[in-house]
Amino acid sequence: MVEQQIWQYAPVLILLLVALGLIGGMLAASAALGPRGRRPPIKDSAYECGMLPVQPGGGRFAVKFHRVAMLFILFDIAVVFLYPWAVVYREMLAGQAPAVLGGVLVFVGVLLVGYLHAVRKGAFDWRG
Amino acid sequence: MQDLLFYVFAAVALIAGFLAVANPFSRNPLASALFLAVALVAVSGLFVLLHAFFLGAVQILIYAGAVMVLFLFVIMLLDLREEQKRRARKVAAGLASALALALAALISAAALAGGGPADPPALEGGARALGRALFTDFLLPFEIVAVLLVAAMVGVVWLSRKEAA
Amino acid sequence: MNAILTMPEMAVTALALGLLVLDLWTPADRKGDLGIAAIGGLALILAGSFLFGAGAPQYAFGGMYVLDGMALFFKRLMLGVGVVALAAALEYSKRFAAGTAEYCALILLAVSGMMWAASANHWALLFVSVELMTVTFYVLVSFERTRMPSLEAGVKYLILGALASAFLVYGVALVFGGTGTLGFAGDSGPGLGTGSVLVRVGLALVLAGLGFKIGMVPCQFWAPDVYQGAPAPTAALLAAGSKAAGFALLLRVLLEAAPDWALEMRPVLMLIAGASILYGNLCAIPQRNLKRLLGYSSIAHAGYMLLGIVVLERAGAAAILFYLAGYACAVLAAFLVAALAFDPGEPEEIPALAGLHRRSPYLAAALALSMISLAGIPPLVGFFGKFLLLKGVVLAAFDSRSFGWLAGVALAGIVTSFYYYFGVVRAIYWSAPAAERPPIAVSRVAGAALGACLVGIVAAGVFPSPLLEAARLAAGALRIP
Repeated sequence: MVEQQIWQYAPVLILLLVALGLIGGMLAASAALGPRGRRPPIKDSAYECGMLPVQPGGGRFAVKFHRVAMLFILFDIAVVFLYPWAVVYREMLAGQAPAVLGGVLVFVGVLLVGYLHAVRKGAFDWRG
Repeated sequence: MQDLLFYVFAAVALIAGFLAVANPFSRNPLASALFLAVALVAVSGLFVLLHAFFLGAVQILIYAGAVMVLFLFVIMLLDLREEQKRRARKVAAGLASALALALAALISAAALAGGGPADPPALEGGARALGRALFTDFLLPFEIVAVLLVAAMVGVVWLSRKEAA
Repeated sequence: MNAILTMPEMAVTALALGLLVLDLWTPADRKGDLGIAAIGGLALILAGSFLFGAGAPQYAFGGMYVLDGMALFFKRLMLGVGVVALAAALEYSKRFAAGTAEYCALILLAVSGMMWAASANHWALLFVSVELMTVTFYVLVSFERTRMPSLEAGVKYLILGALASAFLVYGVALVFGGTGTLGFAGDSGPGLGTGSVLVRVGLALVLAGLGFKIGMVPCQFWAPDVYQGAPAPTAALLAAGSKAAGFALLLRVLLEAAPDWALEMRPVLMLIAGASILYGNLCAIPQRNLKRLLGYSSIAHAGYMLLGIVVLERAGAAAILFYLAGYACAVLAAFLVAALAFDPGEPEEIPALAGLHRRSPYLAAALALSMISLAGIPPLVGFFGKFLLLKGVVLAAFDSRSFGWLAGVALAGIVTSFYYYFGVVRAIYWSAPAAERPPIAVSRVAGAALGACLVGIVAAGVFPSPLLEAARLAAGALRIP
């Protein structure tokens, strides 16, 4: 049974190969067929009405982008744990209700504290 | 077939991992991050070969997806030109390489010597098996992980707070 | 399921989460009350932990969690350390403007992680509890986010801590590969044999990962920088709590789960102990910063405590427990003074301590007592702890010459340490201050916490038998063959 399970992933492997072949083929084709031009560094520089750039582009970023990304990852990890729970919930409810229901309630309850903290401290407030 | 795939994924993971750390062609941190993503995808393939299907999917979702985005994000915030100019110190790089080689040799020796248990645990890592394990044997670590995530959230909120004053 | 055994940890976690929730609806001028409530709650849990008797080991969660005498001893120690660290945090967090509640809650979460670690009897619980501790410390170290050294220390702790965690989890994976089980011993399976190379290499990686926590050579590089840069209460918790948790896990893994491997690795452990003592003491000599000096001295103290492990006996484990309690009192007192005696933003330079006895005789006496105890001068607790540790090594030296060398190195280290510890005492009492500075007002909470540490230093030194008895009882629970 386990042996069959792994073959379910054969399409994923085929997809991977097709994707790699497509990208490789496109790159190879454009290199082989495309016109050959010279590329001096000046062609890659930022272009603004003919003025030469005086400093690298991009100034200081607000930290809020980073904060939202971090909080997203933390909640993402929490949700990952809920997926196996959802799969086994129904079949375990009959025999091991305290573990499968109480366990997840505690888990979500603890995370709720973190969520409340983030909300009340204005971590999701985009203007802050 | 599975053995062949193992060697392919392992080779990809190793080469991409090496290129992420010591890329001879480019000093661009973005290249390192993308090679790290390739290594993570290859490791996810190894997980699937080990029947850790759920872990393989999560590896792609969280690491190759979310965490890599965060990495790229931070790299974009930094000044890339400064980083590209910086050269690793020869002595430090040499020491680190020697240590890494020694560690690799030690672990390879251990793996080649083998000596696993007489009755290895069954290979099963689907979402169902994982869910059962999580809510029977590993209930306590599971709950502690929730506390760990809250601690991390409090830290993120505090460290990224805009200064009131 | 004996989930009731985990009450102390659960209570600390609940206290931390409750604090976080209450903080959201507390007006800014009442945040200090939350800190007081946290101290009171933690003290209550400490008192409640005496309801548990140190009887036969009891297991919960399928043998994953063990409550024996040693776990109980460590839990009480960590709760006590937590109370003092909270008192220091309450005082110190006036510098953060806001964030008192978050700081206290994170300290509580770190303490809960240490307590889980003290009861870990399973690799999964060990790893998760170590991670809870480590992740919380990443934030606690960089908590003073407007001060550059604190952020720098945070980044260093983050990178090296992540590396140590990688070693730890790789080691756990190899051990699992070799044994097919994640339990240590007792209910969840037999102890680990040394038969398989996989297990041996795995345990070596685990040792490296835990060595980071206790700050032993060669995993010690973070200690001075992090101790110096971190806020003083965080550094106190790192020195007294995190180190204790590391030793709890080392004792559990080395003496209980893998005694055969520990015997095999004894020469390496002896080398590590000697190197830690020499490195810590020699590097501490030229230091001018009080917290950095304590960072180097913490490496030396980790080396002294490893002497209790290399003898591989219950008596050695008991000596470690006694020493940890004494070290916690002394180092907490030192960091409390470091938190109180310097202005916000001022580096903790030792010469700036000049004239401290005129600014606050209490703080001066406390720091002096703490230094004398760390140096190991009788009749303070540090002396008796060092005596017990050395006694084990000297007794072992009758069997093997190499232990004689180790005892010699340890003695040399102790004598060396007199120089820099008394340098601090001299700076306080016998050097002229550069400028007259105003007297220091010590708040009642901080004064009481400092007083508790001083009572510990003196009382456990003059009357060591109750603490020693407790340590022996706790070590008696270890299943050493």
